[in-house]
Amino acid sequence: MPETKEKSKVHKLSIKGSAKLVSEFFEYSINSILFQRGVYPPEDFTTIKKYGLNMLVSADDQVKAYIKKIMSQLKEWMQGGKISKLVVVITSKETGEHVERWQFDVWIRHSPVRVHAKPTEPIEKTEKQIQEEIQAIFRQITASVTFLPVLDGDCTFNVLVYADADSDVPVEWGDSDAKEIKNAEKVQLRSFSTNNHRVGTLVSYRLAD
Amino acid sequence: MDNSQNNRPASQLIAGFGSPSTPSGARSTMRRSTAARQSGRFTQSQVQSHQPVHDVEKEELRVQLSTLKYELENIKQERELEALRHEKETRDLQLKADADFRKAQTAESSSNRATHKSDELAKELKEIQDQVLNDKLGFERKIRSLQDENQNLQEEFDDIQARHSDQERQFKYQINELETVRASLQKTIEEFQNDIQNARSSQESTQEKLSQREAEFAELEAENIRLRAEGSDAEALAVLKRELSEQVNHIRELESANRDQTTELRHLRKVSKNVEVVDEQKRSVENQLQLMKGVEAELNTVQIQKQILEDERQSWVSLLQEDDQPAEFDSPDAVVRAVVQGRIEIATLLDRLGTVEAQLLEKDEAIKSLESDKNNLQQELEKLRVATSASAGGPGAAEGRLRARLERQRALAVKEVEYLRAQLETFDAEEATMNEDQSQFDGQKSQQIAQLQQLVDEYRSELQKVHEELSKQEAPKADEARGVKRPLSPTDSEGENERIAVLTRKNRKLQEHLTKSDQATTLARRELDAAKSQIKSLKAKSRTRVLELRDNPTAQTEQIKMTTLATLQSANRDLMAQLRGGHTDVKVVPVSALESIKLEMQDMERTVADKEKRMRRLKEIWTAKSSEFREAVASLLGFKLDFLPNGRVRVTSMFHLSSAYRHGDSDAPSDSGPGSMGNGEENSIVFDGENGTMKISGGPNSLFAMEIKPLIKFWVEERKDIPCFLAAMTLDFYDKTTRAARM
Repeated sequence: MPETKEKSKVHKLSIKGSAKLVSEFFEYSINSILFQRGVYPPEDFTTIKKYGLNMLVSADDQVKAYIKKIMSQLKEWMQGGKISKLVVVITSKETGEHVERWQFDVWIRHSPVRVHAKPTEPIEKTEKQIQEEIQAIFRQITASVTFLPVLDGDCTFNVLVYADADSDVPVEWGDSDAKEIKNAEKVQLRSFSTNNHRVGTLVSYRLAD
Repeated sequence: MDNSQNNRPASQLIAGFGSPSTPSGARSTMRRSTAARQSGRFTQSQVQSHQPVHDVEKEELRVQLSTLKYELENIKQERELEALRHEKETRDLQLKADADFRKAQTAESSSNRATHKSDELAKELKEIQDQVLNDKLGFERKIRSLQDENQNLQEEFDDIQARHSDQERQFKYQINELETVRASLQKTIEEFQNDIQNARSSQESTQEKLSQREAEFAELEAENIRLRAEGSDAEALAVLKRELSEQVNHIRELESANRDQTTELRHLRKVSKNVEVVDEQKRSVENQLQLMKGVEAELNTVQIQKQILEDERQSWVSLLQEDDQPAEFDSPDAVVRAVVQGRIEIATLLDRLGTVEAQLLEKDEAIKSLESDKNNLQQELEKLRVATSASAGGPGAAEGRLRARLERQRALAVKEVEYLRAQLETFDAEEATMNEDQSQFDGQKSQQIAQLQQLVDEYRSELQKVHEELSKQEAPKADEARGVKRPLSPTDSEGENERIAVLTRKNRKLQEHLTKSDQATTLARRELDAAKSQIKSLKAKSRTRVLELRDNPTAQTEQIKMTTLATLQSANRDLMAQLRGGHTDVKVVPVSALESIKLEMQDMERTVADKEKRMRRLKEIWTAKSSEFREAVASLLGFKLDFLPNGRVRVTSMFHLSSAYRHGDSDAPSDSGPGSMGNGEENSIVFDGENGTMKISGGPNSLFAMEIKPLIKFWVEERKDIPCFLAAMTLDFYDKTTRAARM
């Protein structure tokens, strides 16, 4: 009995840590996308060392505040295992059209709901391995600038969260449509996994006319 | 005591020893003394010296020995004494040394103490210095932070000022607005006042008239009285009366008109109040209308979409509805279902086709074999026909013939039997006649014959039975033969065939049923799958919610866009109304236009703020970088660089102690002339990169210029090398500073 109790505790802790790691990954990926896709001018960004890479983080107070707000709520949801997707939508300011959509799918491993996913024993990963996987994703995001179409005109962004219907939603949050892109081209990027979560990356963008 | 006594001889001894050439007298005394001391032993030796004389020498030797011994003893003693003395001396010395040592120790300790103290003092000094340095650093930091704070405060102050000015401007706008409103109100008031004035004036005029009339009346009355008094004619009186009544009527009319007007005025005032209320309502309604317009636009787009979808649907329907048949598919769902059904049917039909083909092949095989069988049978039939035609009759009544044949055979057999019986009888008679005696044999024979007869009877009866059976069987056969057209096939197999045919038909029907039900089930399964997937997706949808932070950048831009659009629309509308409506000469714009302009202004301000933010950021970076650069140069090369406009650079040495010179100069306000330090100017050199010139502060005759003149001459004028000149200057100044420090 005590052994199982301890185990469950460890499990919980690792879920917490994993959730933190994943939400941190989201924070940096949002910042990277904002920089790489030129949503905000490059002078607005400062360099920070993270994951063994030079990451660019927005220094704009409004953007910082927005991302911080999202992240604080996201951490809570992540720990509760309520999140299935996080989406960054880039919208043209002029036309209001959705131009680009970065989707991060989240799968929880030991979730009792999705037992059928993979019954295999999870391989314990070291922090270094995880970090290397994350590094690879960021490299890919950086490299994706080469094939993504140039965003013309001013753009703005929005972050959508796919949460379970039973999750607690604060007042500042509201329902939204999925903001899908019509006739989108989709490219699956790399994924990474911790011991509790698996995160896949998918970018969809509007084809040039 | 003993020591002092022994001292004297010892000294004598020493004296004796000191000069080996001492007379024997001394030795004799010694001898004496030894003799005196060792008398005992001498007596002994004397006792023993009853020996020959030659022992005398020996004796002498002995004496000598003893003297020597004594001497040795003495010497020993002396040495001991010496040792003692030495010891004493050493002790004294030791004591002295100890005292010295103690003194030295005390001196050392005191010196230690002193050094300790000095160390402490030094440490303290150092500490104090450190503290001072720290304090200095802290103060510097404080100063810096205070400066920053100051700057921040200044910025804040600027911001606040800007805000104030904004607010002022806004207030001004408002004031202006209010002024215009006030003016309009004033105008209306004036109008009202004018009206009132008019009314009053009219009233006054009427009153005046009234009073006039009254006066007239009074006059007339007076006249009347006078006239009456005069006793004038009644005619005039009547006229006057008429006039009077007319006047009174007129006055009454005027009064009533006045009353009417006042009531009307009251009523109008009420009405105007009502109009205001209605205006307010109208405005709210207009707002609602605006909202409704948005909704309408939405509705329009939705309708367009709907139209498109309907058109699409129409095209689909027209495609599906052939030959003006009633539409069998009323929804895409039905179409898809039909398609799925058709697919399934096709699949099943293909399956069936495969099975049918296989069956067909089988059947072909069977037909072939049957044909070969048929051929065989025909051949056989042919053979049989030949045989039957050879035997008797037509092939048509083969059975009858067969029966006839059997009958005939029977008849023949009966005949044969009869014939055989007759033969037997004849044989019997012959026997009886030939062998009358042999009765035994006869009996045997007769017995045999009887047996044979019996056998024949049995045979016959059996035959009869067979015949009967045959006839019995023939009767149903004849019935069947009538029903079945093929007399050749055997009756039993025919019945079976029929049954089989029935069964196969049934089988086929069942199979068809089966395939149909199969189709139905597959269709149902498909539908089930589709429904399941639909349910799953719906469930997934219901399970997850797409959420966003309400205050997100996209929504903000959208909101800004919407508000600008709305204000612009309203401004446009108002302007259009103004343009279309009265050609008012007053140069005024609607409030909405003003609002839109305000919004634009806000937008502009926002962009300006954005730009300022960027500028500030860049400036910060630039100042940080430039100060870093300057500091790096100063720490590496010893020169402070100041970049002046027009590509000039002021170079100030860090090592030049101009302050030392300035101390003397600070009191005397020297303006110019040789030896002046340029009054507060740092001793610097300004290099002009464009012209390639070099200017020394304070002019070529200043003290500083004089100071570096040899260097200039050596490096600049002769060798034309500025960097080396600067380096030499640094070294020179460094030497001076150290000298100054030493002083």
